[in-house]
Amino acid sequence: MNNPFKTPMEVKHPLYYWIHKNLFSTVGNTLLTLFSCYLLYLLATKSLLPLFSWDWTVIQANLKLILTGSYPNEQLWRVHLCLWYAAFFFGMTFRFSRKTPPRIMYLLGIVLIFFASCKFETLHRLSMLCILFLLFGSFFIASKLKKERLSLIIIFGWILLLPFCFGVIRGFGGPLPIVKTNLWGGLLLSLLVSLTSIFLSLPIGLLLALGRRSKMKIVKSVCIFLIELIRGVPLITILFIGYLILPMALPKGWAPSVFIRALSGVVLFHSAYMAEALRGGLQGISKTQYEAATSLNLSPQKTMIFIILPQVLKRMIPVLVNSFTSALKDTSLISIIGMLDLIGISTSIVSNPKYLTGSAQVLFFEGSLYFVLCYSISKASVVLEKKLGVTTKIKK
Amino acid sequence: MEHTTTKKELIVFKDVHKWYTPEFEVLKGMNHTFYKGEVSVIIGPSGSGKSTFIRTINALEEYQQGEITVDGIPLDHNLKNINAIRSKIGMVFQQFNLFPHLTVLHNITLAPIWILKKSKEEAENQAMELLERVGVKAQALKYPNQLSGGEQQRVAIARSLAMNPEIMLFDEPTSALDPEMIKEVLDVMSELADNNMTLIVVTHELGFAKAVADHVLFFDGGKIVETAPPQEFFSAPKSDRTKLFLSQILSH
Repeated sequence: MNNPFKTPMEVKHPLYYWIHKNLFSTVGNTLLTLFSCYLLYLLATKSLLPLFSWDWTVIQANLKLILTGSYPNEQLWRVHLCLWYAAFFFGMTFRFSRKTPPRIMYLLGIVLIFFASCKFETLHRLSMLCILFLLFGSFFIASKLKKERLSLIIIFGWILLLPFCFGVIRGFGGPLPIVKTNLWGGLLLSLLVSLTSIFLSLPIGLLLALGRRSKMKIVKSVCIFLIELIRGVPLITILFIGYLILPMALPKGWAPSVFIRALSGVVLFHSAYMAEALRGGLQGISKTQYEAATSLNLSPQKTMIFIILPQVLKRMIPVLVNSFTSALKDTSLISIIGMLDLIGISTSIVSNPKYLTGSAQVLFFEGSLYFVLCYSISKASVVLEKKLGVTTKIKK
Repeated sequence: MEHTTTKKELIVFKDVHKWYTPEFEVLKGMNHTFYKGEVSVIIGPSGSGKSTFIRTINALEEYQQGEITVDGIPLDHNLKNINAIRSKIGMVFQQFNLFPHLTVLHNITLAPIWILKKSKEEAENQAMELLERVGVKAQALKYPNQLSGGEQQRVAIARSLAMNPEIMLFDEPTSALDPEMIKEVLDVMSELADNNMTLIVVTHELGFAKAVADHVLFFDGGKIVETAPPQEFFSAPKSDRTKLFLSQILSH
């Protein structure tokens, strides 16, 4: 076979050719290669190998704390219930994007089976299997549904995710006794706060952005004031204002719990940033799109919903993902006002003299958790972008 | 002018003035009446207020002084009136302005479904008929940017027609097109004219004006300088400004 792009040498000895071309083509290149090999050797022997010899008991002993904080043990099934709910809709969402289960589902399956075989309590091991079953089961159920109905179910499912989780995890008496928010902690708390801020900052930010573009002077100035005020203050300051000053400013007994104060601080902060990002996106839409819609007699509201927002949101996926990941990570700041989220709980674990030597392990574990979460968000966004990009390309 | 009594007045401009800024007056006292079923072509040098003029008709631009009525409805700040007027008028733009995130079919069905409250099926059937009429039926499921300029413009015409307008406004519909695509768009417009649609066209296509127009309006400096049937307009223009303009475009 004669390939015009390849020299005869390359066709005969592809590996040798590649090594020569990329690693040893010049003296400088050779030196660089040797130096990089040395660095890799150092990395492997000094950093990676010790990881395997680390004592991980600190994680094993505190796994429950890291994941759910002081959430009462006998109520942990409620957290699992939320996971089941999420797993069910994850399965459906996967089916929506493609016909065969994606690799990530098999990967998840293997991880779940691995956990189910670990030495946890029976409830947790059973729950892992249940999640696995729901994930693949809902994938199968979804294949029986019509695409339009499926998309509706998925959208409502995800919108109701947070109300469902808050309802179940907080409880309201009866079979679900109330678990106070000060008992929530660890990954559970981090996820609840960050997901809430992600879900709420988008609509609130949108309202602020639209308000800022409004022709009504009062609406406009209120929105500008809110955005600039919140953006001009560090998140830590907002959290401290909520934590320290709000209870003093409000009549006794009026102040909501620390959790609610911290949550609303984080949500407000991200809404302000989201508002400015969305405003940028809105400005990117040509005036002619509004004119075309107006000439078809579409009202401003319908123009926004059907013409402008779909274009804006599609263009803004990278920006939105950026905000989402930073929202996810910024929640770690709530540990500063004494909330025991992932970071807060680990600080308290490490400060226990028993686990003095375990701080590296705890940090490493947390870092990995955050990385997995953020990486999956950005992966999901790539899939979404491709999915939307294949069929529609936006052209001015 | 003996037919005046039988013709129905559709759009009436009475001394319409528009300012962009207090110093910059674009329309300096427009007086004109468009009759039902007639094709009016507006020509003139750039900056003469042609586009602004037709954009005032469906309230894309406001005017500050004077009076416009469309089919008896006064065009004022009353939103109800504006909506009633817009529902009678379709508009086609120079840059097509299709919605890039929707397929050709959805571009057309969106407004009928949400404004005229048609069922999805009914709207789609109508859209397919219209696409056939303008000759782009085969592209119904494509996205606008996959179409040529001429096809996009014809889709834009179909999108306006889907709202069953009585009047169609064309704002330089062929100016952004490659020469070989101009004809296919003009053909669609001629077909509309043959079906007694009221058309108001801003264009530089003098051939179209000669062949299809009932009236040619010549604009200059925010005023209507001359109004005449095309034969008269092109063979025996009255004003010097018109003569100069025609000699400039017809010279090569």
